[in-house]
Amino acid sequence: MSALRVVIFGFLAIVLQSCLAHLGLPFAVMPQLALLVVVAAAFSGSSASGVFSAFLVGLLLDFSSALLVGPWAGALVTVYAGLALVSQRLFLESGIVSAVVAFASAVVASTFFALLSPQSDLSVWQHGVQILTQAAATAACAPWAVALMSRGGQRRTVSALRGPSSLSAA
Amino acid sequence: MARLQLGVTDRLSDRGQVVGTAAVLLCASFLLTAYSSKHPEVAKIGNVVVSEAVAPVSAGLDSLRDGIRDTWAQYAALRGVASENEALKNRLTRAEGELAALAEVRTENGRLREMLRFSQETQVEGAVASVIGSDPSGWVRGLLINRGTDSGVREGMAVVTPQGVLGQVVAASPDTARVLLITDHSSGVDALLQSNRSRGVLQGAGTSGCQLRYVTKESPVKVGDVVVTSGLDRVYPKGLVLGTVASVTAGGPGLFQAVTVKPAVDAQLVEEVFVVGVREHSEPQPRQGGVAP
Repeated sequence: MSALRVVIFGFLAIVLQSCLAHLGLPFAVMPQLALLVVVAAAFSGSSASGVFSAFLVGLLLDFSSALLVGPWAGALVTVYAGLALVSQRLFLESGIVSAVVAFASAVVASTFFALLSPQSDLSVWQHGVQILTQAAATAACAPWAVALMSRGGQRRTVSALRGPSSLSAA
Repeated sequence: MARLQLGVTDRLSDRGQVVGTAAVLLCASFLLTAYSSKHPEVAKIGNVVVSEAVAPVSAGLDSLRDGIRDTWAQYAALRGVASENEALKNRLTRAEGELAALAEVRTENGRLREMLRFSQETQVEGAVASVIGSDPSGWVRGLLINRGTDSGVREGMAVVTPQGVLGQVVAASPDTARVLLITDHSSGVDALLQSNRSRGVLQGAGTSGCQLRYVTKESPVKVGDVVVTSGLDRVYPKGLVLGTVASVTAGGPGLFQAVTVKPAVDAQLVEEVFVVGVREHSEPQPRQGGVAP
């Protein structure tokens, strides 16, 4: 998945998220669609431009909240980099795997954001509950979202380091 | 083996680039966070840009949402209209029934008015009764009316309508009376030809109507002449219409003409009749076996 495609998908995800919020969907169950874009991008092919695209998507997310610039950018970069390291050992075409990965990524990203944004009236306990519920909602959307975004891009679901046959084919 | 080593080296190099870039951008995000926490206008400027970009798409989605909501509301309204339509259909059915009943009452009112006018014009005293049945045997041409001895109806009373004579009462029970029509074979009425006053006896002929008997060949009888009661039989008042001459045969043997009369009243269509001689507010007649007050 190219960097431009990641940014466009990320922008659409942010628009969709804002519309869902506008429709009255509770924030606690709001799926982090922009995060799912980054997850899909990380599994479609990790590269330096991919990290940069994740950073841009995070910046868009930061700008959309008009609070701080940087927390979401850092969170999504962290998620992308972490997934890029493990993506070659995971088979994301499985719906359960993508849901679990999305859940873990959402927890990491939200925790990162919560740690970097001090302006919050939520207690630690409330933060924890919200992180988990949002992560669950994100995980529920992950199989469809990842499949949708990975359709046009290059899928790298088979580990390139699994054996010499794949390398020789390449 | 060399190619394998080259591939692994490339991979490791990619991962190194990713990690390095991520580290740089992570530091940048920290710096940006720190900077924007002291200069919040940066975030607001960026928000303006993002909001301007999001707004058209969001507006479009809002329109779509409103469209879906309106469509749903219209669908719900249509469902309401369907149930309302059903209720209105039921009301219409009831109203049509009431209208038919009202028309029936109006028709009956007209007939009763005509009956009253007939009574006033002819000075015939009597009471109105409704036809509630006909002779069940099919051999006797008769009707059943809803007034009997309790209403003052007695055997031998004439039963007429504004159009003409219908018959006479041949049996009466407390609440009903049986009427023998003038078309029955056993019926006979003393009659006159209205035009030349020739006398005769109108005898029932069943489906053929009636025969006017004992009219001499010298009497000029024409088709269409009106036949009325003479009043001499003390059953029917004088001058009531019995019917019109339908055919005349004078060429046969004998002294009299064969005159066929079409009755003035079609018994099949009669619904109310006028029983001549009944006093509307007279004391009820004692029932058979009862004690007179």
